[in-house]
Amino acid sequence: MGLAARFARRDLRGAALSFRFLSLCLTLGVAAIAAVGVFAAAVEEGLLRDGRALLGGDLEFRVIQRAANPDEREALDRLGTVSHVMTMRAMAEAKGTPKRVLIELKSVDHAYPLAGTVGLDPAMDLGQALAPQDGVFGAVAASGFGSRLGIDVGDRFTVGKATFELRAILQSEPDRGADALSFGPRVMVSEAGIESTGLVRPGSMIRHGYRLALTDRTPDQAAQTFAEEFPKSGFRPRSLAEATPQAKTQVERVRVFLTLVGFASLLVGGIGVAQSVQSHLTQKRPTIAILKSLGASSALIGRTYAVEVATMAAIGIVAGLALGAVCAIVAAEVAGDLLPLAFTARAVVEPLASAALAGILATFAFTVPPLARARAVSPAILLRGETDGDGRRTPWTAWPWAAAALVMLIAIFALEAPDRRIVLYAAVGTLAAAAILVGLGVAVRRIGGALHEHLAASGTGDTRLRLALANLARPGSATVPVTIALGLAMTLFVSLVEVESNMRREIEERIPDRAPAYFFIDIPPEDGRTFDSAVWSVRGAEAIERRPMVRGRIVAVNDTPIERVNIAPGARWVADGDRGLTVAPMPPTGTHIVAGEWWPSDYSGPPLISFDARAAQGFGVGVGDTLTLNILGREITGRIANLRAIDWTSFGVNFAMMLSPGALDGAPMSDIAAVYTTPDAEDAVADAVADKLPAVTAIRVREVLDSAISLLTRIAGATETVAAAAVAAGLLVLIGALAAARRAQLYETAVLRAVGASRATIIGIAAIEHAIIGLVAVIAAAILGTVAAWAAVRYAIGMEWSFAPLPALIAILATMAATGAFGAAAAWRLLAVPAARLLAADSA
Amino acid sequence: MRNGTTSDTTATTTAMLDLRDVRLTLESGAGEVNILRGVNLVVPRGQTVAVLGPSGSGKSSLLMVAAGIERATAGRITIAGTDITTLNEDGRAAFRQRHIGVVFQAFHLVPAMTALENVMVPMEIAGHRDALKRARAALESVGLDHRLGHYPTQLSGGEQQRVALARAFAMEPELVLADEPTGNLDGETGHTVANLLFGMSRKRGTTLLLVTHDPELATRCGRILNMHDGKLVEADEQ
Repeated sequence: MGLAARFARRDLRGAALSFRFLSLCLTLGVAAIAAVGVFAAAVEEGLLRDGRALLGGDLEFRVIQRAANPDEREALDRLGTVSHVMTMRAMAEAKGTPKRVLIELKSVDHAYPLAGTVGLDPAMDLGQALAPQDGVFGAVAASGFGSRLGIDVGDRFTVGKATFELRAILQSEPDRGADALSFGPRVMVSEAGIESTGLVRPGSMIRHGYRLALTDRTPDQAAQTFAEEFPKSGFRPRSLAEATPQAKTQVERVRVFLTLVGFASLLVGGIGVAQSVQSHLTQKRPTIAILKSLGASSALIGRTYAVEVATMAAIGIVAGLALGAVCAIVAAEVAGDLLPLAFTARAVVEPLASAALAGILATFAFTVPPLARARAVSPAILLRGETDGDGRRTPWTAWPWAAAALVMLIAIFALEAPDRRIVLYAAVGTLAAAAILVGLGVAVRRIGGALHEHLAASGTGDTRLRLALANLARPGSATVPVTIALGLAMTLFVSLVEVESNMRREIEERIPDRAPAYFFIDIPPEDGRTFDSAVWSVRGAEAIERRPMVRGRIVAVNDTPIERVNIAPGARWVADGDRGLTVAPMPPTGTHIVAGEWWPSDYSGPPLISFDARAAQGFGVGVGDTLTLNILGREITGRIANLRAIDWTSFGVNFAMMLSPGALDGAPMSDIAAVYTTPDAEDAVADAVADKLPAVTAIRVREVLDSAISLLTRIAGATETVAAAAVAAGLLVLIGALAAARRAQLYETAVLRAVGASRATIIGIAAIEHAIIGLVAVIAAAILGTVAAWAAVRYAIGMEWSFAPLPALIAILATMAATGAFGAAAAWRLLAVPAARLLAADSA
Repeated sequence: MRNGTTSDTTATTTAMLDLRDVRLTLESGAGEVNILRGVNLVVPRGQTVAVLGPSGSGKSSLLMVAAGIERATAGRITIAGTDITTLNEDGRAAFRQRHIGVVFQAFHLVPAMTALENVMVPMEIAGHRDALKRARAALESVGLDHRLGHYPTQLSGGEQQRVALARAFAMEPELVLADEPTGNLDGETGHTVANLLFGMSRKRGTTLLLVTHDPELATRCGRILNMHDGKLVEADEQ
């Protein structure tokens, strides 16, 4: 390697600049992957670091709708120090005003918090802040609460039957977690305070958390001890590792998605890398021939240029890693308050190593073919000149190496992803798109050449168009690489914009069209009629869907404990936590049964279950199989009687599981209702219900959707930022191609000028040539991107598809304009060189 | 008229260069082109041979085939007892590096390397540790010791060809093949370069095969051959 390194060093002395596009393309691709990796790892590390605080202790037992009974509490106390928190959604009302705000209400005991600290403004002791003064309980709340309700610290508000005084603003809540979707501001009160609201009653949607600071057991041991003593309690233990599983899963999903976008950027950059190396090696063909004529072996040539490529790639990769890390830190500054972040050594080193490896593999995959061609250059070109075919075709031995590197590149992305199939589908899709674009590029070359010949033979057509067509087909033209690179980048862009546009439309237009205005929860069953009459008293109320509900979770499938059941990722949500359950004698209106039959309305036998058809598929169960449910500590086993196709996007009152009459007898149920109104009647309905049933909580669907849109906007912003790397890489390939063609075009331009072509003609030729490439690439991209988006929307997200022509049209026009402008600008630069000098130099 | 110079077949064992029925056919857009049509040539060690001929007669191709730079379509080429037609491209390159020096009309210096580095290349490839010292001495011998660090673009045509001569002779090859060595130079400079070429080959006893269209230059060789339409004949036999 010593001699190769020496030759490479000499060669790079004057040519490092010609590799700038290689370095820049790699920098972009690696930076995109590194930024995503470092940011996601920092979030994961942050979750881990703050895990104890986020969890609220070493171990938490969660149970819904009921508190621990004295025996259970005593058992918990034996395990360590216990802190009991309750959370529920409720309505807060400003004293003396009609303003009502949906809040996330939380009660804490004296032991809270077992980990982390609560920050209050003004600073004070939490216990003191929540304690009653002058017969009024204290409360602290997140900063948005006061402004939304129009009150300040010191003012009073009511929740249910209780009045509270806002004593401080909650600056930091250690166990707040990273809930992406929150329905309202946090309001924290004491246990006595929440009891006094009257909202804590059987059937209320209250989540109880018992956090433990363990004394002498590990979290696993403590969880096992409790489970052995109370096997059917329904308490779900959560340890540090699962402190924020939801946040972790969400971060993971977004990371995989963004990494895939980064992968596409790297692929586009890879084409730039290949083009840059090819252009450099084309210039070096005489040098290679000279070295071979002096006795250099093909291996020495291969090593020499591999060292050059490796050196320049290393510069690009290192710059990409640095840029990626900086971008991650900048993103952290922007999103710092939303997510816990910890830039530990692991959070930085591992993703950077992974991004570097991706850069190395991409470099390898894309430079092996041109390097193999360089090895095959014959010294005979010194005699025969550049008409020689040797070293123009890629030796077949190069392809398996390039393919292996590409497969490894895909494998490292797939290995890191929780759902490998998605990565594989995306990778195969990207490669298929690239293959189509290669074919298209070749077709444009051939058709361009044929058209030029036809126009030239017939003497028709605009001269500029004719010459532009000839340029498309000339040897070494950038038609193919630019078509692939721009096409891939714009395919990615169009697909992302189309997916986002579909999701936005779904949330902004389609869902509101058929979604209810409000959900009301915690309606006491005995107040059902009162509720209905309150709603119907408002002009504009259109429909009420009200059903009794209790929470329960699946603990076994066909008597196999749920932990041991293999469930498809898309159906895990049904098993992951407590789900709403209801009883129904008759199938609700619009029910679509796809298997089995509904039970008779007067059915009174063993419990039967109507199950979500898609979940059943994920569980691998069907009619006749059994599910065992734990409902408030009581286990019931029911047989699946039928499967229903449920449209979860309808936003109606949907249940994954409905039970036959009598199955939930004795369970403390409360009603949940969806109310449909005309837009102008929304507030009136909420007020009417609040007047009659102040304890009932109203969740305004529009606010939930706004919250979802805000989340979507954040994710879309991140995605488009990463995709910008791909578009930039695509443009770099274009600019690189123009730079590579500059030498040949300088001469052509000089000749054209010598024979009388005007500046406008020459610029026109370049603009037309590149606009044609841009147009073809982007039309292909619009089609491919739309197909990719359609597949993602229809099958990955499961939504209805609608084509948004505007993003595709903007992409087409912008790309055409950009490519044409870049081509024209390059021609303008060519014109700056005096023709006489060039022609004289050539003849010299 | 005899085709080529097969008068002394017994000379093969002592010959530096022995070409037997060498043919070169290349594919072109218009079909096959027969460039060499059965060339026979035996050059004894130490002989200086000039090949004269008009443009397109195939004389440069003959030189490239003899150097192993171009692969013959048929025939046998033996240099210093080795049949190079049995070697692959890398084998021919390695052989060339040990036994042959080549001087091109267009100099063919590596543009990214200085004069000194250009001369060092064949010795570096051969793994000579004293490549720098020898290259310096070689450039001194062609009067370019003041141009060691100059790049080809910073040298005149004559200087570039002197660097090429220094490079060709630096490895002390047994055979030097020169393709129109003065073809790109003006008269006076060409004369200087020719003097250097003949002086160096005489001094080292190097066998020299020179291709030129300049009869005056050819007369400086011990033997003159003519190339016509891919065939070689002794000048005195015409």
